[in-house]
Amino acid sequence: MILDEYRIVFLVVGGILMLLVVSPVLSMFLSIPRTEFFSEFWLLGSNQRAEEYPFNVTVGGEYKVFSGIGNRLGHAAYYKVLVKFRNQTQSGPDSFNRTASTLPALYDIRAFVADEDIWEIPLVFSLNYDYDEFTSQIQVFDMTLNDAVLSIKDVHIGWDPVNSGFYGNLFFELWIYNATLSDFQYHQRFVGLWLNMTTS
Amino acid sequence: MRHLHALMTAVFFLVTLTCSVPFRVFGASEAEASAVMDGTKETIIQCYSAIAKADNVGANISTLLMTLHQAGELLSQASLSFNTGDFDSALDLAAQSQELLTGFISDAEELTEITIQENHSGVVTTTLSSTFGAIVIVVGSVAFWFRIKKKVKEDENT
Repeated sequence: MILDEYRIVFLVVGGILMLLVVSPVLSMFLSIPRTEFFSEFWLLGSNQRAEEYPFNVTVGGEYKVFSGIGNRLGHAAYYKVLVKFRNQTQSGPDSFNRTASTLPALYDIRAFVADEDIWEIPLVFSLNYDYDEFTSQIQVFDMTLNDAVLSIKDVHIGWDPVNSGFYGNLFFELWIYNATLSDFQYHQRFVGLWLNMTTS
Repeated sequence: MRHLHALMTAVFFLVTLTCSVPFRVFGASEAEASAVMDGTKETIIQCYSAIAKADNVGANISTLLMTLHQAGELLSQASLSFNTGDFDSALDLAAQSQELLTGFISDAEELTEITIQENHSGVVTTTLSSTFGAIVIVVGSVAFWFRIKKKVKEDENT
């Protein structure tokens, strides 16, 4: 009988239909396990792109950047972004040793991010500093960050003859709350900007 | 007698004025501010744990996250004030942060419970509908196959 030749086709079509119907149930039990758990941390320019970062800054000039966190840890996370400022010789975060800067934070920004979610915040900052003719250094007094005035102590910036400028480093360290330790720990991520602090 | 009346009136106004002043902190000490800030930090951690549980079961925690962000921002401002020696502001901001989180944990727990129930009923509904669909396909396919087969046989006989 010619119909028997279509038995296989009939079974395959039936099987496909069956799979389509039971796919919602299968998806509940069969899912690809996540193998990589990490956090993303970024700094974007004023137009929310990786361009047009502030570089040459002046006293009192306002500059805008965006900082963001992406949570891929598999659970909601409690982050703290520590805002720090340093000159070229002071302690900075170390990518190789995965250590944070020993400098005290000027400010901390707390962020709570759900799993598979991102969080981003605009940061408008300006710097208040002066050129000291006696020491030929820039003395940084304070920084205004999103209307909060942050006092900067012991930051003197000398002339960099190689790059021809007075360079200050505004950087942000990512810390995460560890429920086991009941404390925050450095999450081995940081972003920052080297700023040429112009005097004219 | 007149003096006594004036004194009583003055005392009455003073007491009324004191009571009508909204809750503000004046002259907070470093220890007081630190204690309130520590309490707020602990509250925030408890709230975070509550929403982490809600997030784990797949609840939509966006509204709760916004509240927690606001509380966190107030705490950051409190820390800044504390570091600059402004303990009044530090205490006030930390208290505001804590006040914002009143009822937060119970809201998060309620949301977790609701989501668990919704997930459970969703699983039951999906399983039942898929099972029903699978039975319909099997029975329908078998019936369809035999009917066609029968029809073809009849056609061959005629």
